[in-house]
Amino acid sequence: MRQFKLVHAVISGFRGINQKIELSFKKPLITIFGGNGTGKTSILTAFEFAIFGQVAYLSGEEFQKEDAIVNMHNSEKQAKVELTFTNGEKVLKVIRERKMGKRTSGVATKLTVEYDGQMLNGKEAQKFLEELLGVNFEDYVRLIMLHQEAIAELVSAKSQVRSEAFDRLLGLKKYTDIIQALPKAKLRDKIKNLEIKLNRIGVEEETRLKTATEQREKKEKELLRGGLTPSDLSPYSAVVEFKKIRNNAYQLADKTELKVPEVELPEPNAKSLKEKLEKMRNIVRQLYDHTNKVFSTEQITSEIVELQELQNSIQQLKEEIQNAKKKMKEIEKKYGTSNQMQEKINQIEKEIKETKKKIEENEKLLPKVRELEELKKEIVNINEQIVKITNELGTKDDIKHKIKELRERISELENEIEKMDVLAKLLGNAISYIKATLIDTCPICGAEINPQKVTSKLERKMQEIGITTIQELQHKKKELEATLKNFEKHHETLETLEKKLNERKNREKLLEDETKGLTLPELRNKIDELRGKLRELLSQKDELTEKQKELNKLENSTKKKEKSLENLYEKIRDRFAVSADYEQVLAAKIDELKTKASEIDKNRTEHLNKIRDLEEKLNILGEIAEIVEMDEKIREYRKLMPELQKQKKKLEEKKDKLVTLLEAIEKVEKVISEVKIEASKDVLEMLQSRINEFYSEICGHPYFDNLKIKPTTRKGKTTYEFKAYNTNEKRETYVVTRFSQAQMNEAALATFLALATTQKTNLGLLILDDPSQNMDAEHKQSLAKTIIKLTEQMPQKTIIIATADQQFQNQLENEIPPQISQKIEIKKWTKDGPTLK
Amino acid sequence: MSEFILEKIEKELDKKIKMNLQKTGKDIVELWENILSWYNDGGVENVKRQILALIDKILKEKEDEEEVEER
Repeated sequence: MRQFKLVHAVISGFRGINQKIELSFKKPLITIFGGNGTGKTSILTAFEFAIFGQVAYLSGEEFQKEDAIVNMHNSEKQAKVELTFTNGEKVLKVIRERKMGKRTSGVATKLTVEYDGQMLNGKEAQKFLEELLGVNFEDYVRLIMLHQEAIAELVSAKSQVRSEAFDRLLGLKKYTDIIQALPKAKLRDKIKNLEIKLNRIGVEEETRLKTATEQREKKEKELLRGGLTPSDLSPYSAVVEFKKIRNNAYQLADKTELKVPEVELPEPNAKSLKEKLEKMRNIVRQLYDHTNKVFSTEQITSEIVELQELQNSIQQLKEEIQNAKKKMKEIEKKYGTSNQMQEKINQIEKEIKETKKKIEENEKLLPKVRELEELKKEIVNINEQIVKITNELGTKDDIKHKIKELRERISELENEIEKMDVLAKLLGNAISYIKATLIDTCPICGAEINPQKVTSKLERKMQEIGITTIQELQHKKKELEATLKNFEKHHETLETLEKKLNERKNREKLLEDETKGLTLPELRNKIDELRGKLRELLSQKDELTEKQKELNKLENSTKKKEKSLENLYEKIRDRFAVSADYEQVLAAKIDELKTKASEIDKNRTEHLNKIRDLEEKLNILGEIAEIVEMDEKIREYRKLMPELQKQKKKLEEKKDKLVTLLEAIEKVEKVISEVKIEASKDVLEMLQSRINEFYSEICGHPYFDNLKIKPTTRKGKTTYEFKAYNTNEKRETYVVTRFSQAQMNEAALATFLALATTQKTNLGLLILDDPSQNMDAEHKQSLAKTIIKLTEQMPQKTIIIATADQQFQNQLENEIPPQISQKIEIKKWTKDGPTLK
Repeated sequence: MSEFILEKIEKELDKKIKMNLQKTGKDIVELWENILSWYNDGGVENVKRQILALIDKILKEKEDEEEVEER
């Protein structure tokens, strides 16, 4: 059969494609050219989606959170891809549809296949399609379409990623997956758990048996020490003992007229014994409660307490009345009766009033006495001043006379001074005259005179008068004037003092009349005496008032108590119907009640002792029931042992089966690994020359001229060594350690092309997504030449290349004849999807 | 250019594995055939699920028998 070629595609609502686009593939080489993110890969993966309903490499957590298949802007929320193939004879139409889901994978798709006049749907269509094209999804991804991710994985530095990529490429992924799916660890865990269980089986039971036996022995010893015999410990003896206890309990119940439930005799086993014992314990509890109720002394005790309280109250009242009367007598003896005390109080109050009045009067005299004393001091002082002046200058008359004399003397001195002044003037005039006239005879007596001598003599005389006489007279006058002034001053002082003295004496006389001659200390003493008396009177009054109140209070209280006592006697009279000897009657009644209570107590104690005895026996029976229970358990454990052995055997059988299964799985795994590595070696050996052919064409490495892929196994896992060789120098290197990114891509591309071009399927299609990434111009040129060569070598295939690389596109256009090449150019991408040029 | 049919490799490998396992025992071959069948029916997850079910079956087997015995 000739291979099927893709001739037409209609895509809508798929990944980056929203509105419907139609593509026709008419030539062997198709280049889809457009910028990054314009929808090239969407177109390429649409083919994969149409044929298989899924797209490789759309996996990961985020892809499970939204639908990455259906275009998010599509109004119908639906992806639809329609592909038309032909093998030159017949037409194959594949239509795949899918509604928007909540995640990327696991959402149902609708497939319709039309071929040779028939139309198929669903699983049947899928099976038919894969058989017709001779390719399944895994083969498609490794042989038909080279995803960008596949290149990255083949040259990954992580050996596991690389190994899985090679496994996938070589079609061996299935075996790796199966090995990984074999749950060896879980199986080992299960076996281990079974072993643990096996080791544990019976151990616990044996321990329990041992513990129970030890406990039983211990308990038995305790009971034997308490006086029991081994035969008492049997369940049958326990039933007999139970019967005795039950009968005793019934007898006690009858005696106190207590109705108790019937308890059946127990079966000779622990459960029944315990159950019946519990019922008997309930009866014993009832007996306790009932006995305490029947033999209760509560009422009598309460009556005794009441009567004793009455007795105490009478005694207390009597004592209180007696004490009060004694106290009243003492007060009356000392202070008189209440009325006598009142009379005394009235008398004292009168005296208080009088004393207060006297104090007031005397207090009023106090300032006058003080003034009088001051006045007397002042008079003495004035007298002293007068005496002093008189002693110094004489009496007032003497001073007056002296003043007169002084005034006369001063007057005389004034006259003398005036005379001397006149004489001096005369002498001056005479001197002036003589000097002027220079006369030589005296004008008065005519005697001959010498003018010079006379002048000189006169001048001496004049000098004597001026210096000596007049000055002396004036000095004397001044002294006399000072003396006069002094006398006049003292005279005036004496007159003032005498006037003052008279005034003071008048006031003194007046005050002496008012104060009756009392001095200040006398007056003060008098007031103090009166105040002392007042205090004493007040104190006497307070004491009497207080005692009077006390006496009245005692009288009132005694009356009340006598009334209360009478009431208590009345109570006794009414209660016991007696008319005398109340206290003796009361005492006798209390004694009688006490005797009665004592008898009841005695009866109750006897009864309770019997119940306690029953209770004790029940406890011992309880202990015996414990031993019976232990015996039962021990018998049960012993019986269990063979059963446990049986269980152990069953578990061992299960374990053996699981171990056999594990061994079988391990053998299967081992064989798969061996066969897988052998197969990978065979395939790679077969591909070796083809890989190197492509490697040499595309890469043309200047030193490492060959690639070698070698599978190895370690711990059951296959890993692939991807190496480059220099054949002449026999040197090698890992591709991932020394190659550039472009060289690594070229090595991966060579490997893919080697495999894709040597396979045989019925699908004539080879798809390369961005094969020139990271390459320089020279290598792009080499790649373009390789692709042209492939086109020539495989005319039965359509090669579709998607690229954003303008240089590579130009190289392809330049190198490839237009008759075999078709260019689909994407202008831009919008929400509606790619816009084709 | 020499082409070879890779599509047949898988079938050959399955057979080869079976052949190699035949030397070890009939039960193991049976297990392998079951694994292949489980894989074809539901992939690796089905393989895992079926073997775990097998383990559970072995573990439960005796208990069921016991229940029958008890009844």
